[in-house]
Amino acid sequence: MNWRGLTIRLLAATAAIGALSAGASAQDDKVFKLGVVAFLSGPAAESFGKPAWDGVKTVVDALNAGSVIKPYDQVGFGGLKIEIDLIDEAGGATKQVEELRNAYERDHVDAVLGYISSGDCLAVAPAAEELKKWLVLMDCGTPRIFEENKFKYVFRSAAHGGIDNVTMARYLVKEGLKVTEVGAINQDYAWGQDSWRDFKGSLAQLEPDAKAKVELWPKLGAGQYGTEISTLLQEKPSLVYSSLWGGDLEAFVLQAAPRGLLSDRVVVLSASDHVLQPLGNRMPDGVIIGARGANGQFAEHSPINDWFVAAMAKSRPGVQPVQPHYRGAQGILAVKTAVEKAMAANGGKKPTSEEMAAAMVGQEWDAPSGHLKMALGDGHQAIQSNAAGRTKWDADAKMVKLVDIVHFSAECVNPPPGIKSADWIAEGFPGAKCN
Amino acid sequence: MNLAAAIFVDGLIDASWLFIVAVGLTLVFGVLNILNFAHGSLYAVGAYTAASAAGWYYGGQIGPPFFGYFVMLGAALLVAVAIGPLLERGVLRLFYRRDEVVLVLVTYALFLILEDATKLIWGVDPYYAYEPYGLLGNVSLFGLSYVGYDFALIALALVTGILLWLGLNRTITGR
Repeated sequence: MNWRGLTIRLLAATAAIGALSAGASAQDDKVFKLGVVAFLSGPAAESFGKPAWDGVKTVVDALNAGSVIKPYDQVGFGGLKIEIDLIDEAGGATKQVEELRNAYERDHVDAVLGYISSGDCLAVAPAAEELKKWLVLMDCGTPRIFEENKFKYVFRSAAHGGIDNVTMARYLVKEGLKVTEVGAINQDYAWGQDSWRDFKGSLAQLEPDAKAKVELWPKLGAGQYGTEISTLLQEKPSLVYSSLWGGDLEAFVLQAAPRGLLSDRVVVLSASDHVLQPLGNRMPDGVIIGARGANGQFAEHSPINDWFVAAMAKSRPGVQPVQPHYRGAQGILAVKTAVEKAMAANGGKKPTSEEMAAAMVGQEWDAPSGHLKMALGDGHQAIQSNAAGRTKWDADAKMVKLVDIVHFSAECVNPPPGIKSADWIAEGFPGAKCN
Repeated sequence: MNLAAAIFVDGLIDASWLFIVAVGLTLVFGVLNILNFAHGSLYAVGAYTAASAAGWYYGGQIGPPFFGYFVMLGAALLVAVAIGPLLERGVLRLFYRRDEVVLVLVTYALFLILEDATKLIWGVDPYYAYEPYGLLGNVSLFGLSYVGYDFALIALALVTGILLWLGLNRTITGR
C-alpha cells in the first residue's frame, strides 16, 4: 500500500475541490440562491404544493427577466439573478430539518422560502434560528409559530390560519344567516382540531344560539365518508362546517352532494377555494368558501394583482390561480422587498442573513392579495385582509364563480399584537376594528 | 330505532364493497393455498384502470352514461386478465414446490413492486370516477337519502357470492 502516493493524491483532490468552491463563490456575488420548499409529491402536492411552486416560479421567472411592474421592476433581487434550489417538502418534519441544514450548509443558499405543513414549520423554524439563517415561512397555518416563540431570523409572509374561521363566523352574521345546530366534520389532527376550535369559539361569540350538535373526526386521508354523511343527515343540522382540504374535501363533496347533504342548509368550507376548479359543476351552489386572504377570485383589482393574473395565464394557461399561488407570489415579493431594502442600506452588496432579517422586521409590501404588513410576532408575522363568498356555477365560463363576496379588514380578523388567537377569540375579539 | 337502522344500512354498504374486494383473496387462498399479499395492489391497479377508463369515457362523452359501468368493468377485467396469468406463470409457479411461507414472501415482494409500478404509471395525484356514483338515482330510507349505487353494490355482492358458491360446489371444474 503506497501511503505516500495515496496521501498526495487525497491532498491534491481536496485542493482541487477547495479551488472549485472558491471559484464558485466568486460567481455567487451575481446570483441570489433561494431555497424553495413545497410538497411536490404526496397528498398535499396537487392541492397546495405544486400550485405554490407555480406561483413562485411565475414571479421568479418574471423578476429575472425584469418584467414585473413597479415597485418590483428591478431585475431579480436588486439586480442579483435569482437561482432556485427546489426542495420537496414530503417525508416528515425530521427529514425537513435535515434538508434545511443541507440547503444552508452544503448548498449555500442565501435564504429559504417555503413550507406548507404546520408540522414542518414548527420543526424548521428553530433550526434556522440556531443556524442564524434567514427563513421565510410561506404557507403554513398554525398561529403557534410566533405566539409561542420569539425568532430573530424567521418570518411568515402570510397571515396565519386563525383568520379563516373568524372570517367564516363574521360572514354568517353579515349575511344574516341564523344558525341553531351545527354539524362538523374535520380531519383528526392539529389543523382540523384547531380550525373547529376557532370556528366554534368565534360562533359562540357572534351567534350565541348556535350549538354544536355533532362533531365527526375522520382520519386525515380517509377518503370514504359514507357513515359520516349518514350521521350528519340523521342529525339534520342547519349548518355543516368542515375544514377538510385537498383530496379529502373533493371526495367528501362528491359523496355528500348526491345524497343531498349540501343542499337546504348552510355549508361552510373554511379553506376550500383550491377545490373549485377540480370539482367544477360537482360543487353545489351556495356553499360558503374561504381562502385565507383576498386570494383568487377574492383578490381586488390592483396593478400588481392584474399583472399576476395575466402572468399566471401565460405561464399556466387554463389554471385558475387560488390561495397557494397567491401565497407563493406574496412570499417572493416579501423576500424581494427585504433583500432590496438591505442592499440599499449596505451599499448594494449581497446582504447577509442578519441584514435581511433586520430589513424585514415590520415590513409592509403590496402583493396580488392586497397590502400586507408584518404586524404581529414583533414584526415577524404578516397580517392580511380576508374574504368569504358563496359558490355559483357559471355554465358559460365553465367555472365556479364566487358571489356575495364580503371583505374583512386585516385588523378585523387578525388578533392584535400581544394576545394569542385562541384567547382573543375566547374573550370576544378585544381590539378588533371591523366596519 | 332510526339510528339503528341507519347504522345497519351503512354497515351493509361498507361490508358489500369489502366483500367484493376480498372474495378474490379468499378464493386464491382456498384453491391455490397462496396467501396473496399483492391482492391489495391488484385491487389498486384495477381501481386506477377503471377510474382512468371512466375519465376517458365520461370526459369524452363517448356514449350513453349507463354504458360507462361496463366500460369500467371491462377495463378492470382486461387488466386483471393480463396481470393475473403473468404473475402466476411468471413468478408464482417457480415457487410452488417450496414452503408456504416462501410464497408469502414472494407475494409480499410483488406487492412492493406493484405499488411502485402503480405510482410510476398513474403518478401521485388522486383520480376521481364520480359520474357512475350518481347515475342510479336516490333512495330514501329511514328518513335518510342514499344513492341507488350503494344498494346496487349490495346486490352485486350477493350475486357474486352466490355465483361463486355455485361455481365452486356445483360445477365439475369447481369441485
